[in-house]
Amino acid sequence: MNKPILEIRNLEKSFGPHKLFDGVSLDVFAGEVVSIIGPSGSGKTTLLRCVNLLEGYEGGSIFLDGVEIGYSTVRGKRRSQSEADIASQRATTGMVFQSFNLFPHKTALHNVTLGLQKVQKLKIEEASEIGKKWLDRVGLSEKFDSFPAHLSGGQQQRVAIARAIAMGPKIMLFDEVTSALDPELVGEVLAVIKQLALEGATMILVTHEMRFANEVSDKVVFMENGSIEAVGTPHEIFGERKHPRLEGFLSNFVV
Amino acid sequence: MNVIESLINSRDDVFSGIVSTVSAGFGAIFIATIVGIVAGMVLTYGNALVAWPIRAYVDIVRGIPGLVVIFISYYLLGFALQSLGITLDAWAAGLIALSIVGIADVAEITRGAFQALPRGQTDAGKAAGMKFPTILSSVLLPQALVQMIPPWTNTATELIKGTTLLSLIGVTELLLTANQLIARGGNALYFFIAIGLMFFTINTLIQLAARAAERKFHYQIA
Repeated sequence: MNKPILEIRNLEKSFGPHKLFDGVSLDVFAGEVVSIIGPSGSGKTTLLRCVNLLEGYEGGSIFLDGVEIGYSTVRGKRRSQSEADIASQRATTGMVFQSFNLFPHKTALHNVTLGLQKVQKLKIEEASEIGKKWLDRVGLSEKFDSFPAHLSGGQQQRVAIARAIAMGPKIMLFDEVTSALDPELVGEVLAVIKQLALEGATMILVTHEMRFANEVSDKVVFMENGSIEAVGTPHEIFGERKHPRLEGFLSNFVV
Repeated sequence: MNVIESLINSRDDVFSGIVSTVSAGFGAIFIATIVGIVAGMVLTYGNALVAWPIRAYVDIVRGIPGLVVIFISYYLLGFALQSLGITLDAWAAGLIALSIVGIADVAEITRGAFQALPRGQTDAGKAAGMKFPTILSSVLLPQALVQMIPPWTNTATELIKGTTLLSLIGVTELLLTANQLIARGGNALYFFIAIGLMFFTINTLIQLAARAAERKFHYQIA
């Protein structure tokens, strides 16, 4: 671990008059699994969406693999980068959403291959090969030709994970990916994420699954009201609970 | 004289009435669908400068009776073109008028369909690194088209029925043909029932085709 693969520096973001982030900074190193926990409205999801440039931000900067993404400063003026640059930067981060957001008119396999074909410009055979490999890896080798409507929530979310990771991203972003699932389907999705973590994928998980965060994370971040209140190892966060509000928050969960 | 006999006797008139109705009706549906979808996409995603005139067009046309649009097309547009040396015949004026009405409807239907798509679809496309034109063509449009089928069917059948209004500017479509045959001594009740059945048949075919398309694609989506 030398240079972080993701550096978030003094991020500032407002929603109208409400200032959410006032200088949020976070480093993520290659191979690291970082969980972000905290109450609803604390800015966890927004932070993740800023990293994927799905949300703009007014101040601060984000570096991915040493390169500033989203904005650049030319002669002291901060400017949004071009749509084409932003699109290719997004392609290097893999995002998995709470509500899956699969393309309902495409089969499981085509959900995975669409980005490979349209963004990475792979030929259909190559894209299919990669798509099948990843669907196989998430345990869906029987479901290549199924449409999302015919898959369970857990299966849909596993397709979504395959779709994101098939692009070969530098970092995976998981946004409360089990929150919309029936309890009995949570396990199969967490198992896939855990497997990716064990294989060395770099990832940020926004999650309410405290036990899972405790189990897989290298680093746990506690956010509240748009600021990072505590960062530590799972033991420091879940075991020692030094921060007073952290204790209050975690008392709602069985860890 | 029974109706079948007189239909057969005047088959040339009836046939050209059918051709006139079907060509104006389906011509307008075709133009309205293509132009309306493009206009609707501009309304939804376009630059305000381009979207604003389309917004005004849609609101104005939807606030005017179809018959008035037909008269405007035939008299005003016809007059304007005449001064350029172009003669606009009644059928062409009618086709233009019905298309104008249909475009406004389809544009609104398109806008509604796109706006009803979950925002997560655009997010997912962006997250995969797609640029907006790709998201539009590969992710949003195919889903919007399926959503549009039921209201589009409505517009299409209204346009077919709307062709009867063209009789008022002298297009010898089915209704005017029937009126002429009645004037020549045909039984009014039978003739009106006969052309009613013809319209019913055309519109039923449109609805059956639309329902088949809906079943095929909805089966995949939901």
